[in-house]
Amino acid sequence: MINIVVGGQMDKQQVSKLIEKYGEGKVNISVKSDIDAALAVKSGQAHYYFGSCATGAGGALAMAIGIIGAQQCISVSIPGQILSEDQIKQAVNDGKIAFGFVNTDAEKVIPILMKEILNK
Amino acid sequence: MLFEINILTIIVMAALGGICAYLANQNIAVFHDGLRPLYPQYLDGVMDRKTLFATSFALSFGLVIGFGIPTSIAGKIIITHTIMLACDIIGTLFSDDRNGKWISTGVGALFGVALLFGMQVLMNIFTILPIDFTGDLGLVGSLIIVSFSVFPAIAVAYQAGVVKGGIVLVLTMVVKQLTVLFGSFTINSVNVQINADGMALLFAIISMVFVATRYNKKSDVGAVDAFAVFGKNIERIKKNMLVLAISGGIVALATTLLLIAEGPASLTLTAEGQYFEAAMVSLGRTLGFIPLVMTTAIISGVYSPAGTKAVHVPAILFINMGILGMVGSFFVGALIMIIEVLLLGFIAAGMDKFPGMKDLGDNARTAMSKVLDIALLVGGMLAANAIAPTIGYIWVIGLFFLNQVSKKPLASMAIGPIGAITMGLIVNILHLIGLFPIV
Repeated sequence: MINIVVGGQMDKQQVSKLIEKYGEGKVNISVKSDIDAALAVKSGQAHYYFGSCATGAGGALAMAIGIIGAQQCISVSIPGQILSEDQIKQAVNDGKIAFGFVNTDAEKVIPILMKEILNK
Repeated sequence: MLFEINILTIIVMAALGGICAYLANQNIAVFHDGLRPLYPQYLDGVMDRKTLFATSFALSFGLVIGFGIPTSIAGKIIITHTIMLACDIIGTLFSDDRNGKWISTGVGALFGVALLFGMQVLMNIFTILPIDFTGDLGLVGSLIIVSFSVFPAIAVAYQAGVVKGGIVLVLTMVVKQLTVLFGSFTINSVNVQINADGMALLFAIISMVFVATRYNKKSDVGAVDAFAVFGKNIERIKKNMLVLAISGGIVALATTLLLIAEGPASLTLTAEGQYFEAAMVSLGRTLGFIPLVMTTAIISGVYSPAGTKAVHVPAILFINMGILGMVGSFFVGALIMIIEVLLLGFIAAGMDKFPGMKDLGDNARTAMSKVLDIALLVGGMLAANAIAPTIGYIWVIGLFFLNQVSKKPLASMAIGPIGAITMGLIVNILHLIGLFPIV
């Protein structure tokens, strides 16, 4: 099983439903505050961090960047820009484990992220 | 635009642009909450200045062009993101050495003044077009005024479930309806009229805070221990307290002078002259942003030029109070900034004492952004329909869904303002080629 935490900060319920939907039954999801979620990844309890907010970088990823470290975090969507499927695949394969995105882009990026995470 | 262009407003805009660019350049404060956490890497030498600038540009440019400018045009006050995010970019563009410090400050000041004149020029151009649609743009924000008091009920639903959220929703409606019916009375022949939307919003915000304080979900990991390592960051911010206080004062003064507004909702209410209600909305936004701004500040050692946005609350109430109001606004703004900075250590230590309040912030911001999304979209549809009753709805609804499908979607909140403005431009083009006669 792959453990995924949903941290910051908007639409957490919807994000967790989408992860469940595309997780093919192979994921454990828990919804936490962004700080607790980032700490869970840092301590090894969880493998991946997902977060969304209006900018895909602030509330979505800030605590993950601070606690897990920026090298392992990436915004896969920000206003005006969504990473392509290839870029997201590259990011997952490069070892990024915390993903931020704009809440309204959740339905676009989560299917790709889940596919790549499950393939890895 | 609603502001006047005179020597005072020119100086204030220059000061605002200058100090925001200075703070970003000297790695003291940036407005974008997502940029702040990257600073520790830059300060440790892991990330170079060019990458910091590139990230700042990527995060903010789309918001300035796609959200800031259209929202400002539609609302007739500059939304603060337009200047502060641009100054994040300007500040990070130049190196943080001695020369870069003053160059970025100068460029920031010039940008502030250029924005002041630019917005007015743009507005003047719009009004001399064959079909003047600027009056109809006011409709974009019209729903916010009557519907914003719904957001606390939604935040309560996120936090404590649909039943409690529903109760707050119904009570909010009851409060508004009762105030409309019985909120007008005469005391000693003076007619007193209580603002129904303001009362409903005040009630709803109090309910939201009440629910949040009772709802204490214990955090399972030691957030306090995790935050203990960031002590030196708090010291770093405290060292810059004076310049941050000046920044808070200038931000407050610019708000009082109707130059800037902190968000689309308080902007619309301020433009309508409903200052009490605008201050309420601003207070609600501050509650939502306290956890986000303060936690990002603690992990990064970098603050925000507008702090938690609390400086805007008294600043709105000081509007139209003459010179004393301006002086008061500046000093209260500066004082609030000092208090915020002093509270950082307390917040870091008390992180898991009030988990409900942290949740409240996240939920309030989500709820506000959902309400704004829909209110600005429908407002944009109403405005486009007023400009072009034949094709207005088609254009904005179409734009909304095209944006959803787009690979480079704009902030959904911006579609209403953008739709209304572009509709105005389109009817002028149609008019020129004879397809939109003036009746």
